[in-house]
Amino acid sequence: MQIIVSGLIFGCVYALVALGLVLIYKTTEVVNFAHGEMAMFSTFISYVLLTSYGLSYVPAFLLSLLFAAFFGLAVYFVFMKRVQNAPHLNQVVLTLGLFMVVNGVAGLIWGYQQKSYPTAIEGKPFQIGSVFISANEILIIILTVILMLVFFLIFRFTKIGLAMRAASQDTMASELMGIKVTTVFMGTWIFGCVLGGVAGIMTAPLTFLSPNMMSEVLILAFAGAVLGGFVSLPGAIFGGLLVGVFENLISYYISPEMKIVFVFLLIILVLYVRPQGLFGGRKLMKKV
Amino acid sequence: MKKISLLFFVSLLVFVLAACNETTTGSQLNNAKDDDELYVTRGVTNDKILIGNISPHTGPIAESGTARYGTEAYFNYINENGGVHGRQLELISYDDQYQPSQTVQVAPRLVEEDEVFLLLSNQGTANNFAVKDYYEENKVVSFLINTGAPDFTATKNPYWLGTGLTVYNIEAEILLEYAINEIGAKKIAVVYQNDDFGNVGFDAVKKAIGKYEGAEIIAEVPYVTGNEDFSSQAVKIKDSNPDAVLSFSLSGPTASLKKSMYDLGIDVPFLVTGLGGNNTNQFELAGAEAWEGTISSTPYFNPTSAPDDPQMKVYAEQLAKDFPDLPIDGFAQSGWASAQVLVEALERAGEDLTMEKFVEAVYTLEDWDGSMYASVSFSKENHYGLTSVYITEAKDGKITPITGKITYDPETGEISSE
Repeated sequence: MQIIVSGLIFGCVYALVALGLVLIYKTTEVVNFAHGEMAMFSTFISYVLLTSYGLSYVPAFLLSLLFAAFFGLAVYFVFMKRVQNAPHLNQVVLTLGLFMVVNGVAGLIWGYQQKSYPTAIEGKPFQIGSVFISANEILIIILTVILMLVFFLIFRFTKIGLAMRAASQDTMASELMGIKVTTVFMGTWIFGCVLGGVAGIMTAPLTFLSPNMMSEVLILAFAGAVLGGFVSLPGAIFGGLLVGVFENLISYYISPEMKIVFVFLLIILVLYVRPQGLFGGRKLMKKV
Repeated sequence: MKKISLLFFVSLLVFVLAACNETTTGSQLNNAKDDDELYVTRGVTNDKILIGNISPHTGPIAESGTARYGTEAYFNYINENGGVHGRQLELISYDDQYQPSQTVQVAPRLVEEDEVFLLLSNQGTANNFAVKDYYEENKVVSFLINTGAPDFTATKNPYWLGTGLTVYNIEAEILLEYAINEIGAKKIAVVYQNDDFGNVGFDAVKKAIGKYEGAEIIAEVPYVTGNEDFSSQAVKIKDSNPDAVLSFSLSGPTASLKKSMYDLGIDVPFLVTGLGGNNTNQFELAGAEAWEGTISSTPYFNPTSAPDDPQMKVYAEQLAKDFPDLPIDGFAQSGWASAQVLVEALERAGEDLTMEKFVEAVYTLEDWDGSMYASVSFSKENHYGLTSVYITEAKDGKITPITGKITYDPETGEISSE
């Protein structure tokens, strides 16, 4: 039981990261490899606010999300907008470059020594049946579900969501229909980065804060997103949770060395049976 | 068709020429050095000795590369006080990002361009392996390399003198002995990083546990580097219900593991190798309560436990002056300690410095306690250097020694304590 619950908690972290990945991919069709590193950077900003400026948790949390929003904005205008019409592969390579730049800069500024990061809710874990869980871990689960629902509803039922979906399908047609594609993309990058910031701040107490804290998380979040079909927000959450639980089970019953191997085996299996992913559903490309 | 065969012929010719060329330069290089001499002396002038170092300045474990700052601080201290026999010490350090492929690229720069006297505290097992042959061909001496792998020093190879960490299998045997004889543990769970580092410790425990009657390994709990989530390892430990946990893990994973164990309410003696335990940052990472009581071993006192020690004061002052941002009980301390041993050997080697004389001087170090290390011993037969440790316990934010010096005899495998 403990294995599954612990897996669910890490799964939530993967899910949060996957959510940002999917959000950006769904609208701009770019897989943002720098997502984890940008999240790490925002987390460092919140750490500086917490320690050097002595802010309490909530204002530091909000301010760093504000920073994340500006960060997303800057990345979009400085880098991504310029290559918006280039092939997607070029854009993806650019995000890989950003990955290295952000990682290196964070290392230069804050060094590589791991730092501890406070949890949102302090307190010792308590026992339910045979399972230990802490209040903070419950918060992570609730937060993940709420964020997923909010973004799901925005996409499905609002005009912004409609604009986002339209822009992803055909940039030029949307532009002609009066959708400001630049604004939509900008919004997506902002939301994606804010989501990343939330994920980073939730991850840091578990993995400790360091420039490399997101590397494994990003790979597994990516796996989760692929499992979920990469275009579905509930799919990202479900995929993230599945990966979290699955890797923990493998790690316990088989061996920790094999967990990534098995996670990717699972992906191959799922994609073999359902090439569009678990929640990839009926999203068919209609190109005229 | 003709064209192709011509092309083939030309490329074959080029290949043969290239092969010839290589053999000629190879033999020239050998002729340039005296073949009969075991050592060559480089990098020494009337007023300077050049010392080389390769360690990660960037990359995932860049933190451990900060040891070089400790070395630099000690060199500054010595230089400000007149140097060694009038010569100033200069450290040239290159970054290999802990990647053996990078080590291979920067090593020739140190040896052939900078022509350093020797290599001090070069880091990483795989990294040193990658250039082992190259160093030996060029007769370069590596002094106190920063790895605990036994492969370099156990063979009494003339070019490899000492390690800056206690060799992992020696440390493992000392920790095991302590767990069984002092704590009284019978059922032991072993956590290990599944690579060269963790396996050496784990294998040593497997081999040595037969010596103790009734003692057994009841759980083998591996993890891999990059692992962030230690809940399954903690559950495994909990399910096996051990008397003590012995862990061969690096600092980050150790803190995560200890935290996960604490969250599950596992409260058994926890012993961890010095690389994972001898750092007060662990109180921060794992949480003060979770880290409390952790037992580890160290070849030198932690500065927080002996702030009044005169040697420690010199170190703390110099480090604060040269590198104010560095924590005094981080990796810088090992860089400082290694530099102390180097300077002592250089002093003993005399004014007319050659590599031969230096190595002879190193062999005269016998149970030498003039540095931060508990004791340093070398001889022609013993290339380990460090075979003594203290056992430490984490208490109230400090890491305090709880035993006297414990020494392992590499010849007999006996453990004696003072």
